[in-house]
Amino acid sequence: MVELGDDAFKWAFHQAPVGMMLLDSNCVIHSWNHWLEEKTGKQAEEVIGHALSDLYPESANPRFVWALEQVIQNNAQQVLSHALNRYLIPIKLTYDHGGELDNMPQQIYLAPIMGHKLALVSILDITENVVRAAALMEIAQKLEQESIRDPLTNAYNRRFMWEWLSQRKKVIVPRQRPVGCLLLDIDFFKKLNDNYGHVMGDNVLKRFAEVIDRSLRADDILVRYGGEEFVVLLSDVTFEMAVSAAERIRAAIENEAFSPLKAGGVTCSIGVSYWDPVVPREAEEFINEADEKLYMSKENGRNQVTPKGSEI
Amino acid sequence: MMTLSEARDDALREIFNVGISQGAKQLSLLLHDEVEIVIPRVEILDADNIENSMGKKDDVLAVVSQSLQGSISGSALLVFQSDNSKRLASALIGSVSTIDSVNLGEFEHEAMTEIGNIIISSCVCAISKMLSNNIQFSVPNYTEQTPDSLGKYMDDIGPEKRDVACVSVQTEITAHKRGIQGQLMIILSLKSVDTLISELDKLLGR
Repeated sequence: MVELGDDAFKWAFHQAPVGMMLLDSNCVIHSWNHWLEEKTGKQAEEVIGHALSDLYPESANPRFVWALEQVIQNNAQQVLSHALNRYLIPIKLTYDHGGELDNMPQQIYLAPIMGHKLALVSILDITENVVRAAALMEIAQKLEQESIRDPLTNAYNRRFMWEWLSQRKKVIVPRQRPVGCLLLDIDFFKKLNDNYGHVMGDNVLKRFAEVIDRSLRADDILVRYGGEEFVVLLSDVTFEMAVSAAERIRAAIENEAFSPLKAGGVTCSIGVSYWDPVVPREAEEFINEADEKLYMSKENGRNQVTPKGSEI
Repeated sequence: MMTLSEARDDALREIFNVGISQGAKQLSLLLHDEVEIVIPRVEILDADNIENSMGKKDDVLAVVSQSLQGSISGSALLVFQSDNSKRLASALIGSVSTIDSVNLGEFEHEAMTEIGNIIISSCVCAISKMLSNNIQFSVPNYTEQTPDSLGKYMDDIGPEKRDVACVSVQTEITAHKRGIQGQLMIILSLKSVDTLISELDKLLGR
């Protein structure tokens, strides 16, 4: 084993792949390693004996000053996160990461040098972490924009619904392929959230979607239309089939227990509209009609189905 | 559970309150917001009560920890129920991730590590002064754990559960008009607790 003398430790200090400096309680620099010399362009001889805050006024912020005090007076350990502090000393990034970073993002650690009234201030370059996080965020945002499903219930989202209707419109009349629309709204949902909390509210939404899904066929579409509103689009049905499907779903919800509520604890109101294969119309107006019928269900006491007026 | 006499209880609470008011001030400056922290209760728990006080088996706890050596030895933990931790993080630093379904928790973990460091530091340093500033700290660490895994901090002290006690400091943190509870647990060997109490008594002039 090699006996390590002071010389070896001095080299270790200077060769470390992080910025290291020793400061006293007045923020005066007692030591400044090679990493710092390289990154700041200031040599040790120039800075030793000067206060860090004279060289870099931004470093004299309350967080750093208090941290230094804690470390020197009380032997504490302190960490200054990049998240809340950005950097201690401004160091321009010299390579282009394709992002918008100007100053090096830094994580700072302060540790006591026992037996001396000094603090070791270590500066870690976390550029890579920050760039990676930003790239991930960008990808996540792109994915979200392209998504077609509601993450909570896995039902389709509104974007998908409009897209589906716009494609479907091309065949409804020419190929006689009608569509039934059910617009469902969970009764008293806001009250449920207020009384039982959002976690329970989310669970109700998930279960609600599951119960509906059970009674749908392969070609039918379930959409999460709003906070507590869903749309069901039924492919190639008669008006009567659409109405009876609505009634089946209403009953299934009423008979389902949504823990901790027993069966009957959660109900829904439904409006039904129908895209008659004889009459061309617009998708928005088709959905609006179901909305009007839904409104009537609510007005008439909830937990019911209101179909559009007399039919073909 | 060790019951503290009224005098000791008052003194300990006073010491922690003074310490944590410094921490709250620092948080206010750091986060550009009015942060208030009060300590409604300080207790000394024995090993069995430590696990029980932390919640149900499946709860997720956000924990910032630093180990302590010197006049007293053990670990200082700042513990939040995970929901509270997220609420605290968002109350204090604002919502960063605009996408709920993606967990870009790194930012919050970093920030919580620093926030926990400030609170632990200001509280433990307050009692450190009583012990001639002879406490060394480790670097702070952030983890998410279940209550039963907190046992490892007790194991670190020694094999005998009865040799472990915990100074449990309830904290009530208010920011953005939202109140969030966290618990500062200083898990120590009994010997360390005795040291602490005897220094406290010296202060009280007994």
